[in-house]
Amino acid sequence: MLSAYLYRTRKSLLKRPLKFVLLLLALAMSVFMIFFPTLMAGEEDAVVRNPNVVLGGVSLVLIVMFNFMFFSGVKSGVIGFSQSDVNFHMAGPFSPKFNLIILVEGIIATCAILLWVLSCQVAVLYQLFGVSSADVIAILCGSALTMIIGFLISSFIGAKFAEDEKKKRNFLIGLAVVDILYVGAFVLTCMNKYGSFDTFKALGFKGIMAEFGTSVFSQVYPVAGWISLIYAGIVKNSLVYLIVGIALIVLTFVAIYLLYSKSELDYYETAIAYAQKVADIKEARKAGVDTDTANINRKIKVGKESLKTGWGANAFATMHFLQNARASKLFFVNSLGLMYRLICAVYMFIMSRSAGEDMGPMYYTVMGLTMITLLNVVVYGGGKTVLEFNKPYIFMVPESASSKLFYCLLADLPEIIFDSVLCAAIIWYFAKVKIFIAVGVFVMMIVFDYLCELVALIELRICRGLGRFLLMFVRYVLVYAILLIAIIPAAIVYNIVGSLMAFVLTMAGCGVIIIAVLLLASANIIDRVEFNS
Amino acid sequence: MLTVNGVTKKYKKFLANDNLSFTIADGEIGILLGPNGAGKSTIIKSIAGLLRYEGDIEINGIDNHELEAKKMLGYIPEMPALYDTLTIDEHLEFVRRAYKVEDTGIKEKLLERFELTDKRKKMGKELSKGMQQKVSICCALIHDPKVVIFDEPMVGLDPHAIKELKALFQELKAEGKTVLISTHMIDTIEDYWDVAHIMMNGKIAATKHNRPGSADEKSLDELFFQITEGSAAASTAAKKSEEEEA
Repeated sequence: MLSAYLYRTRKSLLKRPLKFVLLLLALAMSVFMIFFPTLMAGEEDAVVRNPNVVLGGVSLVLIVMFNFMFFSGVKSGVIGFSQSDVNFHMAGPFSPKFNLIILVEGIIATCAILLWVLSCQVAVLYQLFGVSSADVIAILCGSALTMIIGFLISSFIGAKFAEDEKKKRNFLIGLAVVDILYVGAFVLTCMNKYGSFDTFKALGFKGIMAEFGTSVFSQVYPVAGWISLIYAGIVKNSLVYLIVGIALIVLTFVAIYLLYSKSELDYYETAIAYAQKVADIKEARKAGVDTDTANINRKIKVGKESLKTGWGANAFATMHFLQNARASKLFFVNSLGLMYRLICAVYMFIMSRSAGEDMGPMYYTVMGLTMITLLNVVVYGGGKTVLEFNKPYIFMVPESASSKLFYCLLADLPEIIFDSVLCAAIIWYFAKVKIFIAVGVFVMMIVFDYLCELVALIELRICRGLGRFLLMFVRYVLVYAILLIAIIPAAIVYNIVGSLMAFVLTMAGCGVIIIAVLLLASANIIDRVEFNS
Repeated sequence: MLTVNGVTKKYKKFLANDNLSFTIADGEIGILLGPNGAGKSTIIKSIAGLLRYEGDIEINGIDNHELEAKKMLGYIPEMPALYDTLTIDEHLEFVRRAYKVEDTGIKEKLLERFELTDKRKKMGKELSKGMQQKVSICCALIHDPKVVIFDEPMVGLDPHAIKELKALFQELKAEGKTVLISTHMIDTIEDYWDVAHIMMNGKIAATKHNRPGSADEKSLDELFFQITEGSAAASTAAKKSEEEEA
C-alpha cells in the first residue's frame, strides 16, 4: 500500500515540476527548523536546556497529537473509502477488518501535514522548552508513531460506532471527561506536594513542565506517555524506562492485532454511503465544481429561516447569511475559528508565563498577532466566498464583478467581527495592553482576516491544481511575506512614535494597502474566469 | 441568436477548441454532437463565459461577457452545481432575486413541471443526481433567457424528466428562443433539432441541417459514425437503421 502510494506521488511530482520544487522548499524549511536549536546553541540568548522541562514538553506534544488523532479518527469513523475501494476491496475476498487498513493511505497525507506544521513550530518549542535538535527529531518520530497507533485504534472504534451517532458522541464526551480528570489529578497531586495551588502556580510554566516531565503522569498516558517513557529512557540513560516503554508499545501493537483479528465489524453500509458522496464530489471537481466538503459529516436541518431579501448582487450576501444561520444558531460563530482562538489563548498563556520578565506588551502583542494571523490562513482560507468561486453563479449573474465580490465578502463580516473581538480580548488579557490598543487590534484583525481570504481566492485562481498540502504551504508563505511587509513600516513607526497603538494601526493601514493592491492585481478574478482549470 | 466566431481554446499545449465558428438562429435548436473529449463542454463553458478563449462569442449581437448578454443567457451545466444547505425552493428564489426577476409565479410553474413541488423543502445535498439536474434546469430558466445552453442535459434523468425536457426544447423553439444542446448520446436525439455540429478533436468535422425531403443525404447516425469511427462503422450504422426502419 505504501509503495503504491509513493509510486503515485513520485509520478505525480515528476509530471509537475513546480509542485516538486514547492515540496522541496517545504522539506528544506522543515529541515532548517529541525536544526534551528543547533544553530541557536552558540548564541548569547540561547535557551538553556533543562531535561525535565524537555521531557514534560515532549509528553505534552505527544499527548496533544494522540488526542487530535484519536478524536478525529473516532469522529470521522469510516469516511475515507473511495468508490474503487468499495468495488475492489469491499466486494472482494477481504475481511472488513483488513479493509480498514486501506484508510492508512489517507492518514499518511494527514500525518505529513501535521508533522510539517509541527516542524514549523520548532522555534516556539525551543523558546518554551529549550529543546535540542535531537529532541525535535524525537518529537517528530514519536508524533508519527503516536498518530499511527491513535489512528489504528480510533478508526476501529469509529467503525464500531458507524451506525450509531449517539453512542459515538457519548464515547467522545467520555474521552473528554477522562482527559479533564487526568489534568485534574495532576494538578491535585502537585497541590498536595506543594501545599497550595498558589505555591504550585508560582512554579511558572517551565517549573510545571519540569514537574510534569518527572512525574508518573507524563508516563502513564496511553500510547503518548509510553513513547515519552522510551525517550526518557534515552535521555536519562535508564534501561528500565526504555524496556518498559518499548514493551508497552509492542503490547499495544499486539492488542491492535487481536482487536482487528478477533472482533466482528459491520460498517460497510456507512462506508459505502460516504464513498458515494466522495465519488460525487470527485465527479463534480472533474466538471469544475467543488462542493462544500466541509459539511460532509454534518447534520444540518431546515428550520424557520428563509430567503426573503436580497436583490441583484445583494442576493449573494443574504443567501450566505441564510446558509450560516442554518449551519449554526450562532451564525456569527465560526466553529473552526473558535477552536483556533482557544489554541491562541493557550499559546499566549504559555508565552506570558514562560518568556523573560523583560518582555513587554509589545513582544507579546507581536507574537500573539503573528500566531493568530498564521492560524487564520486555515480558518479564512476556505470560507463561503472561496466556495462560491467553485460554482458558476458568481460568474453568470448579470451584476458587476466588484459588487458580487463585495456582497460575498460582506456576508463573512459577522463571523470576522466576532473573531476579531475574540482576538482583541486575547491580546488585551494576555499581553496586558490597554483597552484602546485592544480596539486597534480589533481593527487590524478585521483587515487581516479579509486579507487571508483574499490571498486564498487569488492563490486558488492561480495555482488551483497544486493539491491540499502545497496550497496550504504556498498560502502560509504568502501570508508570512505579507506580515513581514506590514511589520517593517509598523516597526519603524513604533521606533519613532514609541506607541503600540501606532504600531497596530500602521499594521492595519498596511493591510488595507495590500488589500487594495491585491484587488487591483486581481481585478479580473470574476470577469476573466477559468472555471475548469 | 448565438454566434461563435473563430473560438480557440487551449489547455496548456492541448487544443480543446480549434477555431470554431457556428451560428444558431432564433427559434432554432442546435446540437453539438461528439465523442468524449471532442471539446463540446469546452465550447459550452466558453459560451457561458466560464473560460478564457481567443475569438468572439455573441449573444443576440452582444459580447457574452457583457451584463446585457448574461441576462439573456441560461446555462445548464453538465454537473449540477447546487448549494448543499439550500433547499430547492431557496435555490430558485436565490437565482430569481440575483437576476432581479419579479415574482410572477414562474417558480411555481417550473417546480410543478419538473415534479419538484413536494420536494421543495429538500436541501441540495439530499437530492439525487437526477433531482439536482432538474433543479439546475429550473434555475437556468427562471429568468426567461433568450438563449439556453444545455451541457449533457439527459445524463442522470429519469424517463419522465427526459420526456419533459424534450417537450421543453420544442416549447423554447416555439417561443423563438435559441437552444444549444451538447451531447454524446446520439440515441437520445430525435427529430427535434435544426442543425447538428459533429465535433471531433476540437473541430467541427461536419454540419448537418435537418431538412425534410433530403433523403439522399446521410443520416445523422451514419455521419456521426463515419467521422468518429471511419466508413466501416458508418455502413454498419446505415444497415442497422435500415433494419430498424424495415
